[in-house]
Amino acid sequence: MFSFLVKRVMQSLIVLLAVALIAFSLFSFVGDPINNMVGQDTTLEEREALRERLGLNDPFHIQFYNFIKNAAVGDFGISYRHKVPVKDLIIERAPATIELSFISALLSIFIGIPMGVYTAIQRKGFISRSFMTISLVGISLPTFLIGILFIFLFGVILRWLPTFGRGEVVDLGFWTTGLLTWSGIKSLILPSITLALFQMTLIMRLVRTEMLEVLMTDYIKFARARGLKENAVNFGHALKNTLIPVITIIGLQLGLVIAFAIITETVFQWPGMGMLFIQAIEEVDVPVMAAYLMMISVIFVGINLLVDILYAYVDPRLTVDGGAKHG
Amino acid sequence: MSIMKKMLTGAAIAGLLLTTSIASANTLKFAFQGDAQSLDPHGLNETFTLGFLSNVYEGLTMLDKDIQLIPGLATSWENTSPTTIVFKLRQGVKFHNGNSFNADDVIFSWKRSLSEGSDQKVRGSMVKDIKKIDDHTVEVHTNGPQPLMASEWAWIYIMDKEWSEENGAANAANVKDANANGYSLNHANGTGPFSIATRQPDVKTVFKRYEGHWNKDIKTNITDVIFTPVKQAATRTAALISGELDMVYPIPVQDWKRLDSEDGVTALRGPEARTIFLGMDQFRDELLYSDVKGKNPFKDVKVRKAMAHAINLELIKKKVMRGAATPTGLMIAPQVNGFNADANTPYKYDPALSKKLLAEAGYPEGFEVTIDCPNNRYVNDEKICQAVASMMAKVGVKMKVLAQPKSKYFGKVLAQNNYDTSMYLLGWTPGSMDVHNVLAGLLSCQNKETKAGLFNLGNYCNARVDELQKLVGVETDAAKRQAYVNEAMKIVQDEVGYLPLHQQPLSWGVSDKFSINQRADNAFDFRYVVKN
Amino acid sequence: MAKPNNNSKLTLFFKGDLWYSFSKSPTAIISFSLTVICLFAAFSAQLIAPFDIFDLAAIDLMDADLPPMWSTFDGYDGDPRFIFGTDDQGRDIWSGILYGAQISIFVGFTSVIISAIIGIALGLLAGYSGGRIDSFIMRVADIQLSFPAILIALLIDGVMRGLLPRELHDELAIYVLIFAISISGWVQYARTIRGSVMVEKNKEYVQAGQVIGLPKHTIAIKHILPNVLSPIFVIGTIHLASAIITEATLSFLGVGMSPTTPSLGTLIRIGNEYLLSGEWWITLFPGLALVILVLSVNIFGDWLRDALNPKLR
Repeated sequence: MFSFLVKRVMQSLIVLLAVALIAFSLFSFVGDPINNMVGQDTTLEEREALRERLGLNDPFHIQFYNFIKNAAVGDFGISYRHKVPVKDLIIERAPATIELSFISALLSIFIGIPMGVYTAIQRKGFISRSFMTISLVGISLPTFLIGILFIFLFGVILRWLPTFGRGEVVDLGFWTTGLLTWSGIKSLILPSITLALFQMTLIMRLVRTEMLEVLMTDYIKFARARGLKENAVNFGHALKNTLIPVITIIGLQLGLVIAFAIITETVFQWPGMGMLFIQAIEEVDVPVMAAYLMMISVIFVGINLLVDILYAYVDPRLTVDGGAKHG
Repeated sequence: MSIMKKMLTGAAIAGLLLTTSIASANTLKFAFQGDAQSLDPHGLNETFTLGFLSNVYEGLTMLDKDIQLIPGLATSWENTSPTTIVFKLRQGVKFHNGNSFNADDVIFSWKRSLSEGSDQKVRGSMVKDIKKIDDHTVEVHTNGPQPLMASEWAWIYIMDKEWSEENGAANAANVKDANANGYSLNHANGTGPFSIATRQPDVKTVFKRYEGHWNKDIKTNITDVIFTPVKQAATRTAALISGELDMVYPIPVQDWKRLDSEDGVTALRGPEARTIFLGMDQFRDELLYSDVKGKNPFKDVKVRKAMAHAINLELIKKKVMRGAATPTGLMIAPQVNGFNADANTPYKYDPALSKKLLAEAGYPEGFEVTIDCPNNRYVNDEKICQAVASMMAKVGVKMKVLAQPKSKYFGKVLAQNNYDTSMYLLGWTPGSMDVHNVLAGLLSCQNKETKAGLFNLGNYCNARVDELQKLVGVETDAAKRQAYVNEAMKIVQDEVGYLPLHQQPLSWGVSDKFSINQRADNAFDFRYVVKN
Repeated sequence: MAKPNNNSKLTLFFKGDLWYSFSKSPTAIISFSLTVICLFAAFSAQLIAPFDIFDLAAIDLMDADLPPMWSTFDGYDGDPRFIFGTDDQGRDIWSGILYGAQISIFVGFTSVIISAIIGIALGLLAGYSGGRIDSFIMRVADIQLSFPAILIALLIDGVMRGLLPRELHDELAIYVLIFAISISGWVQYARTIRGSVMVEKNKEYVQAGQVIGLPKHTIAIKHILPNVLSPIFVIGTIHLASAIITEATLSFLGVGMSPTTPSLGTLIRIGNEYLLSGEWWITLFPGLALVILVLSVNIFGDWLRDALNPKLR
């Protein structure tokens, strides 16, 4: 078990190192960072002095080492566009993204799971079939189209809900929240539903598949044969056995929310990290891109590692095999 | 009687409370398509950033709602010699932090405008030295006669020397020192009627009314201003219509009709003093971005003429600008001092002539060229470039459009990147509202020492225009001056130094709950905002 | 030799069971026909589109913002030359949809094929060689699988755009997209193939090949591969839909195809600016085209999966 843990942690570190190399190469190959920093009147000598001071004349491995060293403490330098430390930008933007993702995750779980269960039990029913069709439409409609549709319908035509930003936020010092004001809550509705829809359909289909498989196992058939009530079988036996793998997978899948938040944030002008990243791409703001890349990698590699460890804990056989993870 | 009196007092107090509570509710929420570059008053010479900061910082002189020069932190000024101006400074002015304003702050701000990170060096270098006569009098010695110094200096904002030095912001901020000295990028301490309460770049900036402002006569009854940058035009318009925002700009021209049909909002439009034009690289021996090798087609006046006659300005006005532009043949707008309506004849749209000229110049099959274009700076900027490209295709010139956000665009084409462009779209409003600013900045040959032609990205160069620019700069006789201006404009037009397109419209959307003054230079001054 | 055997197996497969359930399912027939029509229309854009939208000289600004031919907007009547109206530059929307769909589908298809090739190759390698190679490949796959495909595509796209000079962005955009989307999608194929290979590896015909001394790669490619391909079609179909969505999303976000060579996503982005001013057709028709395309591919893929999975039938 211990050697398995060490191996996994090492592997994760190697992945992070690889991502760091990519992030760092951005700095080295994207234009001349000096040009992004100085004004139009800066002389050649001043530029050269600045290169020296920023360590841009050092050999590659030293620069890379410095990059890693700084990245480890969250220092990615200064945004070319905003001229403030990237770290501050990210800390400032994180609450918006986290709040949005969290609410969407809740929505998709508490709507997705019951829908999945229902479609599995009533496999041939009309409502079930409609759910399945709707879920297909949900998967086929790109998030941004849903967002546009919502803005047009609820913002422009009906004018019920705000179409951009977070509304009024309350600053708690370490955190800004939109959950304490009415306008903040209203602003959250459209983006969080947009973001939740795709997850919801995924979770619903996932639960349905798992549940169907469980319903076909022998012990369920046996339970039925024993004459247990349908509800007791479905909820007492089947659902319980479905939920354990489902919850783990959902945990893993929730990382998706962060990814799709980028799209939702752009459509709704939500001032979170995703919008920061898209703007950074457009404006080639390398420090922000690099920081986002690293941050996202740490989050995902972290989730992955955690899930691996949990699995190994639940099912020790897996520590022997290379990577027979459920997924 | 005494009861009556008490009641009256009570009523008065209640009334007072009522007014204050109403006053405290006067919040203006507005949005622009981008954010101010930073809060540093000398960091970037860009209309939006400087206009944004004009509510927080003030100069010795100021511009009123009609862009007329009025006293600001100086109460009066006079030329004691052609190169000396004495400014009397306003007494009793306090910065937001309570420090008093005096002559030292003026000298400090001038020096700061010349510091390394400053983008206001052109204005700063008009002045050779400033002598402090007493705490509220300074004597300014200019570099040669500078009749426009007072009006250009409306854009040099005065900072508090003590505050700046305490916070390590003695130099104009740029990224090099952002770790230690970036204080002025995100903090402000001016003398203006509003102070910055909080700021999150690209997300939100909150202004608070500064009760200690020296001018008790300004019109506004606004107490708080919340600014949010909203990039997508449609979102901006939708938010205005739904009442989430009180004022947004720019409104895309295609949405004007929509605003007109809505109750409670108005599209404020008017001609902006900004001329949109195309420039061409006329100094390199070979264009950087073209398939023509070994020579530069734009050096040939015939080619430049061909370009001019290939563009259908009326069609751009009608379709891209939805009728809301004024096609122009001059590089300055009617609002600018020195404008001569008689000389304002746009080049005629004549693709046949254009083709003929191209053939004569040796390009019967046309050629390829890339045009640099911002996509979030001017009204429909990218679409104008695309429209021009499709017009050019009809005379055989294959024009590729490279459209980028303004920060990247400016980073590429300006002097700091050695004018890395073959052709570009730019807009220009003279800050002083005088033609000399255009002659010096756009129409003079590039000159590293004098900073002339700094924004003449393609280096259109004519010795006589250079001479005329200098003459216009010092001439005080209006008729003679205008004659020089006319001659210079004629030369530029005959040689097709630039391809002027149009003056773009000002396009603001305003809730009917507010009355707002729209300035022709597109700067948004809170001093004239009144909640009805 | 195993070859004729494989052939007849595949023929049997498609002629028999699958074909029968296909011919009995209206959902399958409709979604399949729609998919084929979309593909056909998009790939013959050069033939059936009334205008060449890449030719700037063929676009006239005079025709800009015309409504669909049957309607009137803002004093302008629709023009019979432009069935679905024109955009802000005077481009025909219908031609734009055809060319745009062509780009979207081209990017989708190419990415799916590249993903499949990478995935199949790595899956075969992992499944057949086992040991360290296997655990390394599957480890990488696991890690990548934990990143959502669209995020990977976005990150790769962002990094590539950062690395390329700005002047080349528009020209290389399509390759950048294909690269980003293919890299983000190989894992599914690899996992599936590896699983099947592990099963096939122990079957007699493979062991027979080993006994007569055939080289490893011959056994893997010529003998094992044809027997494990059928799930690939299912994954491929569903992946095609998601690849098209990914492309559209990136283009919508402004980091994909440029307005001069628009894909469906770019068209929707352009139209989005005009939604409020009442020019609904610039967004609506490309949006509808995208939804119809993706939905029919998805429904067909969904049916195919159920049809090939006897447990759920």
